Amino acid sequence: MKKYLSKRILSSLLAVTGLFIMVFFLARLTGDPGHLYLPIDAPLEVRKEFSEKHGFNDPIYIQFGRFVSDLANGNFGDSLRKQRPAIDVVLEAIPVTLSLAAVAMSIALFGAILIGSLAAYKPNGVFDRVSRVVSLTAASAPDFWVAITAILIFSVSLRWLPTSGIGGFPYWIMPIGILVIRPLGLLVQVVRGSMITALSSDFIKTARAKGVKEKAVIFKHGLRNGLLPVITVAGDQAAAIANGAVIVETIFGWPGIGKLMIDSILQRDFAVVQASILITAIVILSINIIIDIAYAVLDPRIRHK
Amino acid sequence: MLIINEKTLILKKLKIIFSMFLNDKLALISIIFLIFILFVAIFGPYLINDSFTKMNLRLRNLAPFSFEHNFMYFLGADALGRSMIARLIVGTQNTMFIAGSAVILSMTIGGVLGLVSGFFGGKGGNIIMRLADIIMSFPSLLLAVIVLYMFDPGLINLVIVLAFTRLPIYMRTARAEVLEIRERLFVSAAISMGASNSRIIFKHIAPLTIPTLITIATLDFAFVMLGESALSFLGVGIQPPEVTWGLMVAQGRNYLQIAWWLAFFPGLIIMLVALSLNLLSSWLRIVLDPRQRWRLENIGVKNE
Amino acid sequence: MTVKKISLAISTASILAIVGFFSPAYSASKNLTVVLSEEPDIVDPCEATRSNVGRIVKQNVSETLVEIDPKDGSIKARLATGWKQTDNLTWHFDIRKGVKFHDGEDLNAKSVVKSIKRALNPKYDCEIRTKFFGNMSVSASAIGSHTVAIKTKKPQPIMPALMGTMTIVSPNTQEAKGVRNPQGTGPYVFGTWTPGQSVSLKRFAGYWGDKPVVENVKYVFRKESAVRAAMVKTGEADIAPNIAVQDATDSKMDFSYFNSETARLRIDMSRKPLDDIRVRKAMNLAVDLDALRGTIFAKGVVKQTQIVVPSINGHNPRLKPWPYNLKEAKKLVAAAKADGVDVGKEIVMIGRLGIYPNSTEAMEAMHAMLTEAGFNLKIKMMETAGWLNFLSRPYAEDRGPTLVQGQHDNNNGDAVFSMYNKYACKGAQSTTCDSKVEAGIKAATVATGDKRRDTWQEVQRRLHQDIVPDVQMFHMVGFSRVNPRINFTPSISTNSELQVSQVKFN
Repeated sequence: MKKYLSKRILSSLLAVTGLFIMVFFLARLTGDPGHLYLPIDAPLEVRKEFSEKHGFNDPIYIQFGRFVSDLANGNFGDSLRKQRPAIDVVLEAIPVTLSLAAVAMSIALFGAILIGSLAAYKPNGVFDRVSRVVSLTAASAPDFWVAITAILIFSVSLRWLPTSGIGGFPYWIMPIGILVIRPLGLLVQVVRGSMITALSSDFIKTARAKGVKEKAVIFKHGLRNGLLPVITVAGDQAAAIANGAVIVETIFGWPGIGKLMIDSILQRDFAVVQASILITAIVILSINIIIDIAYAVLDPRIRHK
Repeated sequence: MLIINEKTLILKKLKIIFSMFLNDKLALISIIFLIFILFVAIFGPYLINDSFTKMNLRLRNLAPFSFEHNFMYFLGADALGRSMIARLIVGTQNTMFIAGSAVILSMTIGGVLGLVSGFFGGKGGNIIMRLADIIMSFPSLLLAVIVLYMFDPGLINLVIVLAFTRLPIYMRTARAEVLEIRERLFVSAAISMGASNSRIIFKHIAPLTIPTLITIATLDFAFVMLGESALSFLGVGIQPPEVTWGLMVAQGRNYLQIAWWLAFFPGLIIMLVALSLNLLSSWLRIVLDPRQRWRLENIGVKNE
Repeated sequence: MTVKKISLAISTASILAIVGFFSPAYSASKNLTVVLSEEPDIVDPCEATRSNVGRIVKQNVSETLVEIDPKDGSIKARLATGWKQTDNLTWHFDIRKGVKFHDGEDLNAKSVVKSIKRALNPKYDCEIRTKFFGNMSVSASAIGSHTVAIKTKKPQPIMPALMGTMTIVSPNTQEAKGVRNPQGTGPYVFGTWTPGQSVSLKRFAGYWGDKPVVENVKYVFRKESAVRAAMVKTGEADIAPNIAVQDATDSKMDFSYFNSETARLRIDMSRKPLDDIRVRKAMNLAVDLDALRGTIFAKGVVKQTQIVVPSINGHNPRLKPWPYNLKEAKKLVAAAKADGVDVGKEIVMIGRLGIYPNSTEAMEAMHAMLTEAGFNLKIKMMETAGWLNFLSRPYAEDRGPTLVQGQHDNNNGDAVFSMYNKYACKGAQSTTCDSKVEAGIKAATVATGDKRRDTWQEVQRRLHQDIVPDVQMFHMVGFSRVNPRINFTPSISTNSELQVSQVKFN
């Protein structure tokens, strides 16, 4: 087990390095940020000076060399826009997104397991069909549309909730609500699908024949095996939330990593782009490692490979 | 003595399929709806008069459900006075093309990679999964901006970007399925009987992974449509004068207070298509899984 | 080092969670909440010419030497009480006495000189320098305790107007750009900046001027205009200085104001067929501006005849906007075609996403109108970085003919801030090179009084009637939403500043 774990961590580190290098070059290919950073009216000579000063005119391999040696000293570079270390900016934003993601994912996962299992118990039954339609409708709605409509309804018309911003419990309701919808919809279907397969397999029939109680059949025996593909999809969804909370963060004004990344990309703030991708990648890869461990725990057949 | 020839066999199969449809009314409605959408996608733009897609500022933000104008304006008009129905029809072609191509591309490539990784394992399999990890940590937005900047922001590039970002989900799911299936008795039996690897993969294992992959793909179709819409929301998706449903929703969001129909109808049709796909996919899942077919076939008395 | 930062991140998260549950109610009374569209990256006063920085800092935390009256461009005293040109190359400014910075330092000639030197230091890229001073060589020195001499290598008759951009900071301010706790002389002290969330200011007890009514100000940031408008409606915020036209639906709360922006399509005159003046004239005649007004653009926009708005010195009031005449446009196109001009060549319309509300629809509408006149056009919408490549030098050598969607603002009182960049032969966004225009710009830049004004006006006339370098569109209008408990009327300067001292309660 330990050997497996260390192997996984090593290959993940290689993945992160590869990603980092790729991002460095790709980001630089998008052109000279000086153009964007200085005011439109800045004279050409000022613009040239700026590029010189920040080394954007140097050949790309020289820029890369400089970048690597800076990195070795723990220096991710300074945010061009904010005039402070990029890593500070990123580490301020990450906890916001992580808390959003963690809460949303937990609610989605537990809700999906509950609803999906119950639906799988009587396939094509009333509960199954209704939950299918509802979960899918919810998962198919464009999230920014739902968000703005929700604000118009719940904040402006009904005055039940604050429009936006970070704060106490009421401020979390709409952002989490929007974030939960899609993963919940998707996961309900996946749970249902794999539970149906699991519940019709031989060992379930055996358990039933042995007289095991229905509840135990579903939750103890069926779930254990039905969960494997669910965990895969759940892990991907968690990553998607971390990567894509940008819309919720943009609309509700939460200063998370998604919004930071898209702003930095559009402004060509290289240092922040790189630092945020690195941190996000580490988080996602860690989630993936945890998923693989969960696999091994749940399925003894895989564990003894 | 029964003389069975090819023709009767095929007819019989079709009859069975059709009866399986009848037993799941929702799936029936879905497939009819989807065929209709496909028809609109292929033929729609040629059937409507050009005038309805032309700008007409006097009809700007015309409200829907009025009988005063041509029936083409029944769902209202957009910010430039173009008929919503006409815009939706034109957008169908692009939306279907983008989402369909992206999904088929990522499902095929991702599925094969996942299969290979799960079955053979080892170093190669590991590298493939690390590739999936890298892709998943790579923000699809960054890729979209770069592609938009370096090349012409066209349909093809958008398809590639969307397909690329969806790869990992198929890779991981296929691999997970293979890992599980590989351990089953019948596979060990096949191996001990000396079946070749490719025979095992393609005849025994692959067919079992397809139901899950198709389930994911039909859901993915909706997500790709929405993903394309999100890229438009952030300003890096498909650009006018091309139009997709997603772009209509993104552009309409500025008018939610005064012209809700601009974003509502395209969003609604995205939902309906996604819904149909999923209802169809769960029907497919049952049909393709030999152990579940009985639920749809007319054997004995129907219990419903 | 990174471990420290990671633990900082973790503790921030936990504090967020805890504080979240116990956030105190914000007492409404004498406090103001302003919701802006974007958080400023930086609050250094030497960047105050950027609107999202200026709205927080300019004249609130840090004041300028002089203030430009937006209504007519006249120059009023602020931290400087008087100014005069002592010789061709030198201006003297008298500094107000008895003023203190927030950190206790005195405002005097020495501190002003230090502040100016900092802003103009080429080592740092303060926008005051890059936008307004360029590579102008300026030397500031103290003459006596409260007089500053500003000397330039070339005559600068508008130095007072330029000093309207010069924000003064305490001599204790760090040299490098990026100060996060600016110390100025303004009526408000910089409080806290919670990155991503809010900036707060507190009233300064030792302010030299009239005591403002508002005690505390809090700035929050929401990207979506609909959300900003909603916040003011529910009372979560008091002022949203900038909302989209379609969100300005409440006549009691919403105000429209000229925001000194001018929208145009810049014609690349150096590329065929755009080098033929008949083609350019036809384009202007083919656009039905009245159809766009009140539909895609707000009802209050004004058709432009030149790049500067009427309140700017140098604006020529005698010019008439282009009429809509499709027949005439088609005639001109046909005449050009008969002379061998390739009017059917594909022209690319470069748009910038979000440059103003409904920018995409505007491009689509103009595309339809210009196509009717017989042109072959393709729209390409881009985000800012890509668009800049087409708008500003250096231009790509192999570029085709383009029309670039642009918007320019100038509320600094004089046409000089617009004309060089847009129309001089070497101007950063210019595709024109006309000897008369070039001479006019050069002469006006160093002229004074009536001569200056008349020279500018002649330049405007020549551009409008003889050169036609743009498809002229509108002087733009902005919208603000103000909660009824607040007494505040936005003006042309609301685009770049929001003086809290001007805000009162009802």
